[in-house]
Amino acid sequence: MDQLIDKIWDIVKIGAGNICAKDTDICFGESKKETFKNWVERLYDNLLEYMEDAEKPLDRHKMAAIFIVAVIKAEVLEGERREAVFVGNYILAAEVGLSYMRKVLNEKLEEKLGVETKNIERFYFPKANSCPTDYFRIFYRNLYFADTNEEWGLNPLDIAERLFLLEYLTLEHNDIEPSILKEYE
Amino acid sequence: MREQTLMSLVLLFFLILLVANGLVSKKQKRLLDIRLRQHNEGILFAEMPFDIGGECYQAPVFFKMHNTGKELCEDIGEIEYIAYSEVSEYWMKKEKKNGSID
Repeated sequence: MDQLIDKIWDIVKIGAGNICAKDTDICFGESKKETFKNWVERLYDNLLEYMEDAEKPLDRHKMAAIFIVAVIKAEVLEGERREAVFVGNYILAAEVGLSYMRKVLNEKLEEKLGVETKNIERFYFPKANSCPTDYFRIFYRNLYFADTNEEWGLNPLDIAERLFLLEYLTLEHNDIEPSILKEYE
Repeated sequence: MREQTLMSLVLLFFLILLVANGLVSKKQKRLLDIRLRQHNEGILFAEMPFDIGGECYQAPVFFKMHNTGKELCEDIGEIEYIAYSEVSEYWMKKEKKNGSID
């Protein structure tokens, strides 16, 4: 477990470094790694309880969701401005989760379609119909609203489901039949 | 007096029986845990090559965490960080009194 968490923390640092470099009101808490690790382990064990087969590893959507929630809960970034709400942790969490999922998705595609298959460069985010808002923005803002609402809270299974649909859309957008990734007969 | 002594001896006997039973149960549980762990490791690591690093062998949960279809304990490799956001997005205006967000 430590090896994978270390890898994910590496990209948390990269993302945090990018964000902090662009905005001096934001700083990164390197010491938050232990908190992040504890959240990942706790969420992983919690999710296993909902699985039919607790011996089978969690899929990439659930893993990405775990990393997203863990980054948010660890509050690895700190930022404060009087007239604004800081949502950097939600952006960082979403980008870390999607970066992990992209890596694993491309490996799966290579396994199923061969080494010549085109890599997925970025996930496809559709535009909303009611306003000109990019879906990535809607995605991380909903994470913020869920996390800060006392009654709602963050649900990793719910996030995993959204990530699955996002992946499905991305595959179709790249002319790849999503069913080639199915793990059952 | 004799009766009291007899009673004390009986109580002591049962106390010893209880403690002995507890100790035996504890040992049996420990042996069962060891056997179960060995059984599970036998399933998880049956095909493992001899040159896998020690830390990987001792971390069966790593196998659970790493479902990419790769071989057991194979390194996931480097993950590229892909950004989807702009600098302006890190801050949202605070809610108005009516609860709306700009």
